[in-house]
Amino acid sequence: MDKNILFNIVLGTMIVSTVAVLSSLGEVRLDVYVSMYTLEYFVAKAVLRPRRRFFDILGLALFLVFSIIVCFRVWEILQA
Amino acid sequence: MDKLNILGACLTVFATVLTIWSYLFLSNIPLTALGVGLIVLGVSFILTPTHPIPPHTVRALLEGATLNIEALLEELNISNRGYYVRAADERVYVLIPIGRDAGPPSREFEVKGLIAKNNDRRYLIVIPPSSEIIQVEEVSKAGFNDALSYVLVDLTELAESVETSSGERFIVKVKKPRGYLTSLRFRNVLGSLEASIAASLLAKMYGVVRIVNEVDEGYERIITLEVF
Repeated sequence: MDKNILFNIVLGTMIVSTVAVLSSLGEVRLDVYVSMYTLEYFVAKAVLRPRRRFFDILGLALFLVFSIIVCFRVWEILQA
Repeated sequence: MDKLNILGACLTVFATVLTIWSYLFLSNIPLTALGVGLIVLGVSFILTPTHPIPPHTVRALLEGATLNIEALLEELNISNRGYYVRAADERVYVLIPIGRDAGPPSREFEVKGLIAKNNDRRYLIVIPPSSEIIQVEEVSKAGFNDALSYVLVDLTELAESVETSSGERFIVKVKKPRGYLTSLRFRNVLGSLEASIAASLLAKMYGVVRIVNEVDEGYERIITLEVF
């Protein structure tokens, strides 16, 4: 199978599984879901190395959001 | 725009509406998270090229390009090992000594016709099959190891993995090489496809390079390159 298509299938499966598992555990923090998506995206990308039409803006966006989430968490810890 | 991209665009639009609706009106975080996830998936679909040139096609084109060079080398009965040289126009050429090999050429040579005169020595000028591939943006900005890995593993799938080390000479270990060359003289003069690509990349970075030798050890090909 074409690795580009395989990447999207794997990513889709991981995202749906994440939502199913975390929601069944009663998770209501959106940042946990987004962090998991970021992790899954980069893991799938590192393993399958899909091609991109142009610069990977999705990877950049996820990384930026993940960085902001981490900054907020660190800030919360420092405030406590 | 084809089916996969249309699917991606539709998924992104639907997921955006779902995310906003479930967050603002339903206050349902798992459903919002599902929406965000679908946005990620939709954008990923949009970013996916649907008709990339398959690696085996690129490989076949490269292998086909060797046949012309093979015919030329046969006709001129040339069997000296060539030097990969980056010329003033930033393109990499292979300069093959005609007659006795009296050492590497200097980088200042005129690219005009088939024969170049350099320090009173004559060289046959050949453009290696990988000369244009190494000009692509992903390769030109990367270091030697990353660039070689991109071309041999990702772009052409000529190898499973690549490992490079530098010292007095550059050593390239190519795991499970898949290049298939019927052109024996090409292999003697310009090296295997994997070695030719490695030498072209190194010449683009350092100027003048020669393939010292290539050894197949089990599933691995060890290429030794010398920079002048």
